[in-house]
Amino acid sequence: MADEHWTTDEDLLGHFVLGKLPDARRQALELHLQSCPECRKRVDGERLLAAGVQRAGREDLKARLRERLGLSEGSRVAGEEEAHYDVKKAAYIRAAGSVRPDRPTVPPPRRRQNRAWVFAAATAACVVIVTGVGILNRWWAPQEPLLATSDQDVTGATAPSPEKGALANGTTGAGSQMARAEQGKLKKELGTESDAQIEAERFADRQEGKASAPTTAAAAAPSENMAGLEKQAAGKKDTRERMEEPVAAELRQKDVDDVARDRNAEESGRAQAANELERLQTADGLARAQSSGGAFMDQGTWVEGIASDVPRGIGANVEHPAYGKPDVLQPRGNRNHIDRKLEPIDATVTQRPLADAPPLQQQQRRLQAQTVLTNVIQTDSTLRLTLYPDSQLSDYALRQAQVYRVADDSLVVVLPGQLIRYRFQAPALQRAR
Amino acid sequence: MASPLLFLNKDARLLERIRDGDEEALVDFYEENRGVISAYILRNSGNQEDADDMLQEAVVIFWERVRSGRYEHTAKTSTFLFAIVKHLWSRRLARKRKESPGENDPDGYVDPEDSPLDALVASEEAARVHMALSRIGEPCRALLLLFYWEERPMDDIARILGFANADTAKAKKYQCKKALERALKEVA
Repeated sequence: MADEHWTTDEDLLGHFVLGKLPDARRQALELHLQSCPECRKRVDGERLLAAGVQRAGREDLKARLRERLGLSEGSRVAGEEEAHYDVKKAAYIRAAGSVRPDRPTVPPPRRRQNRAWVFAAATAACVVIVTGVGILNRWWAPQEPLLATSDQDVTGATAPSPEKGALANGTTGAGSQMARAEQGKLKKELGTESDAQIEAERFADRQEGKASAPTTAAAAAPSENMAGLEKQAAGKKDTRERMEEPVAAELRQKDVDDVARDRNAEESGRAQAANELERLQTADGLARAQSSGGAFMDQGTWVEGIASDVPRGIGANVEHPAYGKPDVLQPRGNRNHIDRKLEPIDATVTQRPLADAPPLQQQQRRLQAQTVLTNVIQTDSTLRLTLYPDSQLSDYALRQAQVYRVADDSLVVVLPGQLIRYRFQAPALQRAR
Repeated sequence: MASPLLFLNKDARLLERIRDGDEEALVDFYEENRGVISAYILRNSGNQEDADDMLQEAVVIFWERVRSGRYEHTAKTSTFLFAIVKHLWSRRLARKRKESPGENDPDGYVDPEDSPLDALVASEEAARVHMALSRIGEPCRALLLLFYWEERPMDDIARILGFANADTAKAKKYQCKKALERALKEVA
């Protein structure tokens, strides 16, 4: 090939210029280019065409984006050209089928000025609500029944309490940064904070070199609640004053020590709290699922996952689900193997003893030794998997668990040293919509 | 095809919408990241106009990567976008200050100007091709955009544009290239 004028092959030329050829092939073709000025000229011409077309694609897309956002034109696109492309692009998009028919091609520009007012109003409302909640929380604390012991607070079994504590702390100055750090961490873990916010915080931390103090913050938050409960037990009336007493400071320090000592228990409790929060958030979705019947039980969907001891490199060990059995994703087989790119899913993985699973589900397990009975609760944005393994996994393994989407109806849970593959029955999932 | 799963995470949903050609997804992506990007640019000698400009460039590059199948999901999409903006902005600052740009970030983004093709995109010659492209017929323009920009295989192009098969699309592409070359001579 190196001695042939391969540039006469249109396909080869195009793929070469776009960098879509394997390295060995590309190198062989480049060898010929070194001794063929005519071919180099041809490649340069093709490269220029490709670059120009790519530029056109980019500029057109940017123009459409600006129009949708209501932004002013950039300096790099001439107004005359852009107007022309705005007319042209509609036909291109229609031809390429790249806009859904039910969407308007060019929606009206968004109102940025109004958004600023909305944001200001929302911020003001948040301040009022947070302040109100904080006041009410302290006002009513002595009159409420004792809902949680100090141990539960320390282990994080009631995650919302630390969060409230953090919010309350945030108004008191010195502890606010730690409280916000913990709040952000909790929100991140619970999936209640947007990626952009998390990214902003992460970036700010990197830039300013701020070190978060999760242990201290985690302890400070429950200690608020603990101090309040302690005062309730003492039967005192003015909670706000006693929150600042030396006794409360001592208890706070005690909580710091407890949290540092019992870190694993805290993680476990936090996961439970996340589950609880998600259960509350998904009440509507679950109600719909229950009313639809099918595979959805009161507690979500039951599914069997196939477990195997496979190290990393999971993409090479997953077969296309179309060739697997109905309920499980088969491991790598002899036919139709496809390497697939996996997409991570926001998910919480917890475990419970197999004996806690409903008897019916235990009886219906198909491949007893190789499968992990799993309960799945899903929402529009998150997934909660509760594993019921034959033998309990370590806390470390659970913390390391990552969940990936394999295909539209399949996913894998990656644990240290092993995989669990799941395949869902799409019709049942669709019914829940 | 819409996914039957409800639990796709935010990034997966974004990628799916972009693969479906939903440009509104790009608008949402832009607005979600505007605050972070603006803060970064403003802290680094830029203004809001620079921030908007960088963000537009970055989301378009992101769109290209996803649509052409060259996007590797090794980090969160917001992280990837931020890495692109950092690169673009450092290049722009370097050009302003006549300094050499910094090294690439390990966030999965490789500087597009490392490729000879991408280096050409910003050139005057490419601008002339861009102008010439507006002078050829719409079917040709669509075909060339699908092949060179979205890097779609001929089978896809034939299906999208309604040609009988990939061979027909190849023949049509050859004609369109010739038409573009003629238009380019007129522009020059």
